[in-house]
Amino acid sequence: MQTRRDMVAGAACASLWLAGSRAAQAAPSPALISAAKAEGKVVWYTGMIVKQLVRPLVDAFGSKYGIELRYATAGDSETVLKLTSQARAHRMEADVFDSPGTAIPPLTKAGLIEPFVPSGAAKYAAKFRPSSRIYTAMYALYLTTAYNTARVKPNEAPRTYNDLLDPKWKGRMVWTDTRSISGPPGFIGNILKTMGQDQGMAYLTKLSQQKIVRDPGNQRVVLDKVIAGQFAVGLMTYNHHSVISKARGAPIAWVKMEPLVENLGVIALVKNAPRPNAAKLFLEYLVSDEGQKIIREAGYPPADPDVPPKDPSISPTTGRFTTTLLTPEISSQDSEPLASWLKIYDRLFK
Amino acid sequence: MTLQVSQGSPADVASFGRRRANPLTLLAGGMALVIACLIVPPVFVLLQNSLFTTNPDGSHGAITFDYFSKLFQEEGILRSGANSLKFAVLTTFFSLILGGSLAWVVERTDAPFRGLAFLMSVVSLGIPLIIYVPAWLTFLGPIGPINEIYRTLSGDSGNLFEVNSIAGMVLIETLGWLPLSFLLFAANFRAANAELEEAARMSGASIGAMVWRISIPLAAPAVFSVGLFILISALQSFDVPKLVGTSAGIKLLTTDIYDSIRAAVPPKVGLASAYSVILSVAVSGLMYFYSQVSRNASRYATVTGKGYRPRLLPLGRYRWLGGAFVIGSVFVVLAVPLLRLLWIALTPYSEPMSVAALSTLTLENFAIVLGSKDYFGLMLNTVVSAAAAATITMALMVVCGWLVARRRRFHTVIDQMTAMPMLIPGIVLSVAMMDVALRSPIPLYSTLSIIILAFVIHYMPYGMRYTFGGVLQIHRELEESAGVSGASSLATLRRVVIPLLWPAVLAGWIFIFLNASRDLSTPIILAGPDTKTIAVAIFDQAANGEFSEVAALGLLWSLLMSSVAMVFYVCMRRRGGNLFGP
Repeated sequence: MQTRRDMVAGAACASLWLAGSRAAQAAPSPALISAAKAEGKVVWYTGMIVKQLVRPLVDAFGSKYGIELRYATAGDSETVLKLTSQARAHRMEADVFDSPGTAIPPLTKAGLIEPFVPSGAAKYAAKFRPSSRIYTAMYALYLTTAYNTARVKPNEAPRTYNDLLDPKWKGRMVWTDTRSISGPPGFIGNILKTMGQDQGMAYLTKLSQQKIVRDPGNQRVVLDKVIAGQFAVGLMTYNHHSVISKARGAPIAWVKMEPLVENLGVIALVKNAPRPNAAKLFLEYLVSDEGQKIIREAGYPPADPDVPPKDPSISPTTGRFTTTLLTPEISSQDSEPLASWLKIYDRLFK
Repeated sequence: MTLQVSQGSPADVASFGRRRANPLTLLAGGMALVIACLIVPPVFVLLQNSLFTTNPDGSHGAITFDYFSKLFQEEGILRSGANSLKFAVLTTFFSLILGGSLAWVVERTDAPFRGLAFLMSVVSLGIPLIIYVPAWLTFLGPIGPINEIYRTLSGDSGNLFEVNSIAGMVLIETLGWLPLSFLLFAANFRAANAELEEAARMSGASIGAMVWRISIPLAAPAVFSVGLFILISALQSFDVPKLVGTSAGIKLLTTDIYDSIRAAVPPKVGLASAYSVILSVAVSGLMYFYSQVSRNASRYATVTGKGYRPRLLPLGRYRWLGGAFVIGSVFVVLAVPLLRLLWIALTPYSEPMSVAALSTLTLENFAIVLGSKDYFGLMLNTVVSAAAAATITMALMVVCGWLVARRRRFHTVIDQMTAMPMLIPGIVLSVAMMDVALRSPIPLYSTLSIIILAFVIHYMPYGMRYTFGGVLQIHRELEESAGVSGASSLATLRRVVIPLLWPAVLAGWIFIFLNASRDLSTPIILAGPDTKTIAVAIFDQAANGEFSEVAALGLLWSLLMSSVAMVFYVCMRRRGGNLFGP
C-alpha cells in the first residue's frame, strides 16, 4: 500500500526528474517506421471499450502512419484461449493484446509474450513498466465505492470501509461477479493488505452479512444499476466512470474510500507476432504523448506523467488519495494471493 | 430422428442388388459423408479436450479422467442439475400450454385479430436475446414499473415480484419460446384433420367437450414432439439463466459450462468439455424418446393429394375472449419489451420510467447509431454469414429430411449425425470449431467460412425438423404415382418432393437466417478482426454498460430483420405457402 505521503513525495521526485527528460521522449526510429509500413497492418486483441478508445486509436494511428490497425474484441479468457490455440497450431494471428492484468500470468507461463518496452515509456513511473518488460501500462484505474445521489444524501453516504457495515445498506449494495482483481477478490485483497489478516477477516465476515448483490455485468454495468436507482451503493466501481456519467447528468458520486484499489490497463507484444515492427510502432504510439492524449480525452487517467487526466480528481497525484496497487503479476486465479482471495469470496459472499 | 439399427427398406435392398452404382445410394452415401465431415471433427475435438490434459501453452498432454472426476467432486453439480431440470420442465410446460392454446384459437376458431399472432412470431424472431432479456429484466426488476406501481399502491417497501429467481427465468424463457411453440402447433393444427372435430360438434358436443375429447387427444403427438424439442433446447439455453439467475446465485449446468470458459482465466476448456459430454449423454436419453415420438407422428400425417381445408369453429359469444387472448399474447411478447427498449434508447443514461424523466428524452442514441459507418461492415458480415448458413443447411437438409422420413439408405446414420449438434452447447461447439479451424489444412481460422460452418452444424437439427416434418406431410401416394409412372427415385425427389417441400424449405431458411443473425455464442469465439458481426458489437456494448445505445442499435437491427421476415411472410402467403410450416 502506498501512503499519501509516499505518493506526494514520489510525484515530486518524478516531476523533478521529468523536467530533465521531458524533451527526451524519443520519436520512433525511421527504420522502425519503414519496417512497420512494409508490414502494413497490426492485429490487436482488445478488451477496451470500442467506441471510447479503440475506434479513436484506429483512426489516429491509421492517419499518422498509414498502417491499418485491425482489432478483434476479446475479454481476457478469449485472449488466452485464442492465443494458446493459435500457438498450438503454429498459426499466430495477433500482434498485440491488452488486458486489465488477468491475461498476463497465464500467457507469461505459456511463453507467449515477447518482452518489450517502448522507448517512449522511459519517462513513466516504474510500476507502469516492470523490469521483466512483459507489459507496459497505458493507464491506471481506481476502484472505489459510488452512490446514487438522488437516493442517498451526501451526508448519509458511506465514507469509510466501516461505514459499509451500517445495517441501512443491507441488500442495497451491489458489485460485479468478476473473479479478477478488479472485482470482489480485489476488494478482499485490499482489506486484508490494509487491515491485516485477522482484523481484515473479521471485517469481511461482518460485511458478508450485508447481502451484497452480485451482478453478472462488469463494473460499468454495476454503476449503471446504481445510477438507475436499483441499488443505493456500488462497490468496486471505477471512479472515472462516475465522473463521465455525472457529466451527462446522472445522479452519481464516487467516494474517496481510502485506500482505493489501483489496477493497470496494460498492453503486451505477442511472441512470434506476424507483424512485430508494426506492433512495436503501435506500442510506441500508445505511450507517446499523442496516444496518451486520446486516452485522456476518453476520460481515463493516462499513465504518461506529462498528460494529466481531464478531471484531476480521478488520479491519486492530483486528486490526493491513497491506493493499493494490485499488479497484473498477482492476478492469476490459480496462484497466490488471488487464489486465497477467491476462496474467501466463494465462502463468504456466494 | 431415429436411433434404431438401420434396416434398409425392401425396395432399397432390391435396388441395391440390381444395380451397383444406384444413383440414390450414391446420393445418400454422399450426404452421409458430407454430414460426417461436418460433425466428426468438432465431436472429436470435444472428446479430446475432455480426455487429455492441456499444458499452459495450449498443447495436449497425457490422457486423463480428471475432468470427469472433478465434475462429480464439485459440490453443486447436483444442485445445478436439479435447477436445470426444474427450469427446463417448467419452461416447456408453460410454452406448450400457451403456444398450444394460441395456435388452436388462431387456426381453428373464428376469433378476431388472428393474423396478429403470426406477425408477433415473425417479428419476435428478429429481436436479439441480448436485448430482449434485459428489457424484461428492467421491466420486472425492483425499480421496474410493476414493482414501482405495487409499492405506490400498497405502501410496502418490498417487491411484488422477484425477477431474479427461477420463476423469473421461467417467465422470460417461456416468452422467448412462445412464438416457436405457437408456430409449430399452428402448422400441426392446420394440417390435422378437422373432420372429427366437426363431427363432434354436429353430434351435439359442447366446445369444451370437443376440445377435451377430440382436439387434445389428436394433438398429443404434436405436444410430445414440440414439448421434447423445447425441453431439450431449454436444457441447453444459457442466455436467460446467465443474465437472470447470477445475481440470485442460481446456477444451472449451462451457466457452469459458460463460466468455466468465459469467466475463468485461463479458460477451463477441459472441464467444460467434460461437462458437455455428461450433458450430452443425459440429453441423448431424451433424444431417443423424441425420436420414438417423431417416428410415430408419421401416422398422423394427413396431407394427401386430396384437398384439405378445415372449417373454422364459430366461437359465438366467446369470440371476444379468443381475440383478447391473441391481443394479450402480442402485448406481452412484443409490445412490453419493445416499448421498454424504446424508453431505454431514448434516455441519455439509465433512469427509471417516470413523468419527470420525459423531459430528458433524446434521439441522440439513434443518431449515433445511424451516423456511425462502423456498423455497415458488421451488418454485411452478419447478413452474409447468416444467409450462407441458412442456404447450405437447407440445401443439405432437403435431401437428408427426405432420406430419413422415407427411411432410405443410410437414414439411421444421417439421422443420428444431424441430431448430434443439439446435444452440444453452442459455446462448447464454438471452442471445438476454433480448434478445427486451426488444424484444418485449408486456412479457415478467423474467416467467415468457419462462422458459416459452425452455424450450419449448429442449426442442422432445426433445418431437419422443417424438412423431415414437411416430407411426412406429403403422402406417399404422390411419390408412388411418380414411381408407377416410371420416374426414378432421384427424379421423384427433384420433380415431386422438392417442389412440394418448397414452403417448408423457405420457412426453415428464414428461421435459421434470423436465428443465426442474432446468434452470439458462435461469433463471440470465432469472429476474427475482419469477421466481427453485429451480435458481437451489441454484446460488447452491453457488457460495457452503454445500454441506451445498445437499445437503439438493437431496435434498429430488429426492425431490419423483422422487415426481412415480413417480406418473406407476405410473399409466401401470396403463394399459398405457410411460413414456419411444416
